[in-house]
Amino acid sequence: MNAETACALTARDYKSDLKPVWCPGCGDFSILMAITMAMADVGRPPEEVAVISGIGCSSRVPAYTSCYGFHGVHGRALPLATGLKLSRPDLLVIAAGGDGDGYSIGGNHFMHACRRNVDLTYIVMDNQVYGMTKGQPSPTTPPEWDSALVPGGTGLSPFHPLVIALAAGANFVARTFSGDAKGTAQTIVEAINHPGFSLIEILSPCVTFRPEEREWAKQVHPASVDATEDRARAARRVLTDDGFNTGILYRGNRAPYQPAFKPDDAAKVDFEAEFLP
Amino acid sequence: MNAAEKPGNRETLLAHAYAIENEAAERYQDLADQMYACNNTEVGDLFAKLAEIEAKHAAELSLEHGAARTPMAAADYAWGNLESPEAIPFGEMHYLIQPHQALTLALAAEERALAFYTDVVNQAPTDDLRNLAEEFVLEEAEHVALVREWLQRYPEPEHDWDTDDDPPVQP
Repeated sequence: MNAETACALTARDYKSDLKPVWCPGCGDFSILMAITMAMADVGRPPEEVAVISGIGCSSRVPAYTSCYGFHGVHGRALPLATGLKLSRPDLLVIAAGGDGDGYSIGGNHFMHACRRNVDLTYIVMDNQVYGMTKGQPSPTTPPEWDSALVPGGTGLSPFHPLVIALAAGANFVARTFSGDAKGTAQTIVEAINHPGFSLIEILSPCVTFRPEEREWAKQVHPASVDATEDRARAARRVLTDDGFNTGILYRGNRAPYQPAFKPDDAAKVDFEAEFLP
Repeated sequence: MNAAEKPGNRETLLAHAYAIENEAAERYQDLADQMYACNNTEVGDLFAKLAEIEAKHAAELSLEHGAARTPMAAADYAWGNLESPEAIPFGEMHYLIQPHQALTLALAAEERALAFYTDVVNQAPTDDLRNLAEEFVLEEAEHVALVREWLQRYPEPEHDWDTDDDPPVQP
């Protein structure tokens, strides 16, 4: 990005006038800041960016940006984002949401979005709990997490999104921590600039239903090795790490999926006309 | 400039000061908004007042010294990838936070800014830079004193300050 662009746009330009209603202390505040910082760094004006989400606390994020946005159906952020990117490849498309929305209700879409490798960035704010519906365990909740709703814990093996993303074909995989907003912003920039499907798993404490997650700030640490282009090596690393190492873990070189046909402009005009008064 | 390196000239110091004061103003306002959303108006008002003070400070920097936003990359600021010194981390908040706790966080933020400018004074290679940094040290020292004074007005919270009669987590 050149200096002129940097002067023209700031993170504030990507924030809407709506005030977030997340619980004070929630990691999503920092992630929203990171997203807007990253957009300013990339330098695409808000009208060239679309933020797509499903349902959940973190899925409110499109409303808090000044970009185009779509707060979609539960678990359906990725099909919406995929369709948008294929029909409007000129847009910068970011999908965002939580672990429940993305890995449970939208779990099947998640795998196939990785497989399709469309050029979009998927930001998952993982707090290992369903916060909006008051604290049910999500796919990434540890099996022993004991609460009034799951006495004794679920006993279920948690979903491992990064390994699944790698196995399914994602082209860029990273893990960051919400408390490191600037590092997260840099990673988002790298994800946006990397072709194909990029997954950024952001550990984002839910201070209301998982107050113990405030301790994550002391547990996260930068990955001790650089990102690899070897998918199998990356998978081994994330399978055997402690779940708290952060950084870019994998950069692939698969060509992004692009349809052989070009969207028909005339058809688009007809379609858009249906929505005009 | 390396992340740990302090500003070495007037322009860079002004860029840092502008970022510190604006980010502090914005953060205090964000925290005020969070508190208002939770109906914690007493703490919301405190943060809003602090936002106003920091915004005024930032405006003075522009007016008196011509400080302005610069195209510096985020990583080129002396604090590198960390938050700027005067910004309270979002993660420190709680919806039932009491004024004493809020002001304790604000005091720590003001003291970090004071320490930053003090380091610049101690490492300044020129008199011009040292004089400017000393001016900022005096201003931050005033902020620290102000927050300390406010702290005296509010008692420390009771041990059960975070008890909610209508808690989000069902027993």
